[in-house]
Amino acid sequence: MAFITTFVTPGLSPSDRRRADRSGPRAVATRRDHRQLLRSAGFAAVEETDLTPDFLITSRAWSAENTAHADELAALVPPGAFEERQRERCTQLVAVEDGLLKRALFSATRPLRLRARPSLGLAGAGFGREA
Amino acid sequence: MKERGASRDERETRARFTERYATFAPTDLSTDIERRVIGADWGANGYTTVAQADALGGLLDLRPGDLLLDVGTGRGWPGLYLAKATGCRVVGTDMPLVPLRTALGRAQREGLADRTAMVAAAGAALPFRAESFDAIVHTDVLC
Repeated sequence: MAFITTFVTPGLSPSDRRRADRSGPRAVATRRDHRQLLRSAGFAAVEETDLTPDFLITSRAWSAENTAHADELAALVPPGAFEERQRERCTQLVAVEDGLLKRALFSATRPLRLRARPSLGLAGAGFGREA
Repeated sequence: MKERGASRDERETRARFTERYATFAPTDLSTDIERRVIGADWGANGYTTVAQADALGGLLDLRPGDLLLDVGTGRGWPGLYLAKATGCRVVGTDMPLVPLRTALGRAQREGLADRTAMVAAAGAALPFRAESFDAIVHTDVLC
């Protein structure tokens, strides 16, 4: 398994933690370390690669592009929706700049990895046979 | 209508994301911006770049015929992209139907339809047997 996610920086003070919770993606809720979660689920060879610097670059790029095309983008959505989205992005960007949020790529493997299983219970989806 | 088996939190999440996907439907302008910001044009508006999607594919060692599960795939990013790039098969899951339909349309246009399935399901209760997949990917789902 490999995934990328944004999470609250470990070790924050309670007040910073609350600010991070308010600033981050709505789904940021877990207080468990992702590596611990993976290991407790039976995954091994857990690796973490920090993507926070890239996250900052991408966040700033979204913000700059949306600001540059604000009038056109706002006209495409219901009143206030674009502005609300921009506020969310801006709040999150500041939180990343302040070290409250991080982003990382995690990878992990199952001890026994099975390949090319022929039957997956997905026959109705067009699978269930060798490609 | 009450959905059987769905928790209140799941129903609220589905409603919130259904509204968001409907409100921020891709346009020519948003697609141009997406290309400039993350290098992709799959209707994504998050922070996973093409380079990072390629890194995910590399770490998963995806090969033609492998079966990839993309949890929270939205409009198909990055699962459909990885299927196109590596030749793997992909099952995407998400809670709102709107982006899954968009993903299926894109799979059709990309010639990926025979290697793609989309399933409406919450990540906490995936309707698959254990060990069904060769690899799992997700972005901004497990927070």
